[in-house]
Amino acid sequence: MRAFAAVFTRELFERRFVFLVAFLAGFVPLIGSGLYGWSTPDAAEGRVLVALVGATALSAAFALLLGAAVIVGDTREKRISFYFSRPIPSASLWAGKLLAAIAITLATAFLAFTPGWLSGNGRARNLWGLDATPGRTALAALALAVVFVLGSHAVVTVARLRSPWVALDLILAPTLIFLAAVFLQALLREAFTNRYASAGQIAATMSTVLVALGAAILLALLAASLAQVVEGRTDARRAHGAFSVVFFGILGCGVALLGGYAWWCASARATDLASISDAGTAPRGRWVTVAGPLRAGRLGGSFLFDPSSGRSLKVRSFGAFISQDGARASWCETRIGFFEKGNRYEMYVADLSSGKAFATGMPCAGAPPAFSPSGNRLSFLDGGTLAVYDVSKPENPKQMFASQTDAGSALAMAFVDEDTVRLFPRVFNARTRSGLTPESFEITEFSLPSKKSLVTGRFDRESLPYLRLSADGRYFVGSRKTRDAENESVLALYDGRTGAPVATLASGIRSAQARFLTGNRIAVAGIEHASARLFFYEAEKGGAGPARSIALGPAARVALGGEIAPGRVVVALNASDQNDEAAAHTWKALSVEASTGAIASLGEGLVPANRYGWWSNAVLPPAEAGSPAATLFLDAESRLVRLDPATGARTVILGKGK
Amino acid sequence: MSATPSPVVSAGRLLVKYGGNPKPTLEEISFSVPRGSVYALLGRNGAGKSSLVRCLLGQQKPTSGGCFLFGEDVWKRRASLMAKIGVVPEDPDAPPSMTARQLSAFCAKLYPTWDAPSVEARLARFGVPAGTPYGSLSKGQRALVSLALALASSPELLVLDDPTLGLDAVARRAFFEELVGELADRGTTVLLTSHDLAGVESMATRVGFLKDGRLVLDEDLETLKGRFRRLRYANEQTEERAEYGQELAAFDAVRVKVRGWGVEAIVSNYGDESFARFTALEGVMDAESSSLSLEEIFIAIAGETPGRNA
Repeated sequence: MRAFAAVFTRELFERRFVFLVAFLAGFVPLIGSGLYGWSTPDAAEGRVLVALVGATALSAAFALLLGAAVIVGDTREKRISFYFSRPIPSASLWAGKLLAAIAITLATAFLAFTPGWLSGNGRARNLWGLDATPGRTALAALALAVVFVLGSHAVVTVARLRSPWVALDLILAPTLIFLAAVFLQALLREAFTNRYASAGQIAATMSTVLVALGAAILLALLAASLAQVVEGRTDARRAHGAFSVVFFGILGCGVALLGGYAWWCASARATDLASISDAGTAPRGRWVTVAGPLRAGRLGGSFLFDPSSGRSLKVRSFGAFISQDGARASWCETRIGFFEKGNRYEMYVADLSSGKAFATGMPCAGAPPAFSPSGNRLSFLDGGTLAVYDVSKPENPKQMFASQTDAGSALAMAFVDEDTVRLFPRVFNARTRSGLTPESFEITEFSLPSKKSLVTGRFDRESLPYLRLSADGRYFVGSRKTRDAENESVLALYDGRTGAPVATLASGIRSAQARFLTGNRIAVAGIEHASARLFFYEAEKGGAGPARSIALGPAARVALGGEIAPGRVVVALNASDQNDEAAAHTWKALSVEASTGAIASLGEGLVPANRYGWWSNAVLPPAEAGSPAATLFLDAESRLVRLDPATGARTVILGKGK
Repeated sequence: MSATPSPVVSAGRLLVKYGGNPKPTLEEISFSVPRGSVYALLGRNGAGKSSLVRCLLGQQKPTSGGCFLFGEDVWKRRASLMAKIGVVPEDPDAPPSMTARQLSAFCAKLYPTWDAPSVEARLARFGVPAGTPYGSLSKGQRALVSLALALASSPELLVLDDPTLGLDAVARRAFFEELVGELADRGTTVLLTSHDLAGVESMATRVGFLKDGRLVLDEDLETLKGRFRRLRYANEQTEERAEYGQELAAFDAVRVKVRGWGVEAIVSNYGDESFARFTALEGVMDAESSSLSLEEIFIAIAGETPGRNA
């Protein structure tokens, strides 16, 4: 400690004139204010600003100079042997010199800033909207001083010691920067291509990663400069070598950890989901889409998951779309990164029988893709171009059709049959609809054999075409909001070809939801007068009113599921209108017989996995009645469970529970 | 029985190589300096003296081998060992902005025993101003300041790395006088490298010669001077002979020169009995031997390969 104190005080004494310069510089704002007659109320803040800028610039300059001089300068000029021939431990020498440089930097900043700050009556506290408390200011100043001093030391070590180790520096520095950028890109991709991490979570995760990287750099600089003194001593070449080995060793470990974390996040499987926030089932087949937060600090993720085999595919998008036969899935993946040029979106196609996903290289954007009934054709939009590909061999898709459209990306699409694609306008924002041209509401059919398009119909401006398409494409369900009652939602049945309203399915019912059942029957659920109701319609007789209306009991919320068996629909009721943890336990799952209206309890704390959601399954055809997917539920612990309707037994398939 | 005291300085199989240079600067040097002795390490420029001194002071890590001071590994225990050592470097290395007085005050915080008045007294004796920044002093004055600082902690070992290099005769004399006085007073062990062989000869008790990175000689100065002698003799058969010096085989001649009057040889294995036999050889006439200065021995060893100048 004595040796450290001796070195530290010697360095301060050696550079005592710096303090005088900083002290005098501190009066520059006051002198300037006097010379230019700043007398307005803003003058005080002006002085503080000038003092802040001046103090920062001055202390930064001193930090750079000191960082360059304190150890490397002595080594280069062969004066460091003076200290090594004294009873001074190497670590004390290192600490004494570097801490003195940092202390001088901070002291000069303080001296140069204080007169201006005092003259401003402490107005710097909220300068530029920052909450510049003395503690935070001191911490920021300390961090900057350390970074400047050590950074300057590192640069000068490479530049001035001029040993052959510079070759290693020149190779490793850009290599590590490149690798760190690649890994950060991978993390960014994971962070921004799933909707289950909020902006705040993403920012928190990324800032943690960046802080960890910064800490690794700081640790590397500290350890490397210590090794430089301890192992190098008077030998400039060895000092440089020790610095480079330790610096790049630690940074390499840091970058490797970053890479490992990025890989860990990217390699997450559905079984790593901590809980299931959203699930969707395929019209046929075993695969489901699941999404939610990942365990152990990973970012959230979306997956295609086969519960029977445990296989999963990561979907870096806002959900995947599964063909009606359940054999293929597709999604449009965002290519976020530092090195991406041109095409920033790429279509992925998965062969669910083999469980393999293929990046097709096909550009895509905007609307969700759609599969033909056979699953061999895939249509999607790339900006203003509608493209149809033959994906019978997903690894080698072939373009069949491409046509310009005027509707931009605000579209939904569906195959009416194997050769016909129908485009529907999707204008979500009720306010912007009033300014759109009539063409924006047109329904257009594209014939693949003739490569011709035909406008077959048009929505009215009051319709919000949130689409749920019938299996044969003849009908769809949409919502409709009247001009007079902006907040009143009307659920309506539309003709799939012309867009003409066929029937009103629900009016004056809150949280109205609809689902096509087998035989073009429609189930509609909602809350009416604090009580849940379920209606069954027949599309062919839509205008004739519901075939059956069933009161389910008091509820604040309702979730409509699929057909757990032909003609047997699953719903879940909740007495609470809160979407919190306690309310998760108060869901009650029921099955309702469409033909008789008989209600049977399936259990508590369960909601159907393939429950109705406007946002996720825009044009997805209905799940096959009685398919395994219909028996999937989310329990109160946000786990995906399979329910045996006969026994009521639950089997947890995914999720760790809360 | 008394235990043999451990040497103050020792090096074992010390190898120093610098990257890019296939030839080692020091090739497995082993030697030791007994307590109380004055060891002069001699060698031409580039022989490796400074590298050896840096290794011995724990300032440079050897490629292999080890250096020990007072029986301890100097690389590992440098800081504590330096409390017992005074160093005068080849190049003045003190911070140039500090005065001798400030340097003394700085060192006083580091050494358990520091005799600040002795620094002032020595500087006064040397005529070196104590209040002048070190960087403003002449090279001779800086060396004297370094010596004053090195002696102020009453070191058990003094390491002097060519301290009089570039000094004028007056400064050199002052330096060595102070050093001799110190030795007389305390019996401090000294490791010294110097080009000033006359100065070294006056105080060294043991000598080591470094040549091309190897320690080619390491022995007591008196023994060295006893076996290195100059022989002069006439030889009747000189003009007819193709080779000279065959009769000197017993002396391990280092250098043989033929003069008009006869033969002059520097030998490295002189002995009175051998000389008596030599003088009795047929044809050897007027043989005489004389002692050599350390400088002459140094030149004989370091300058040329034995026998090549015949």
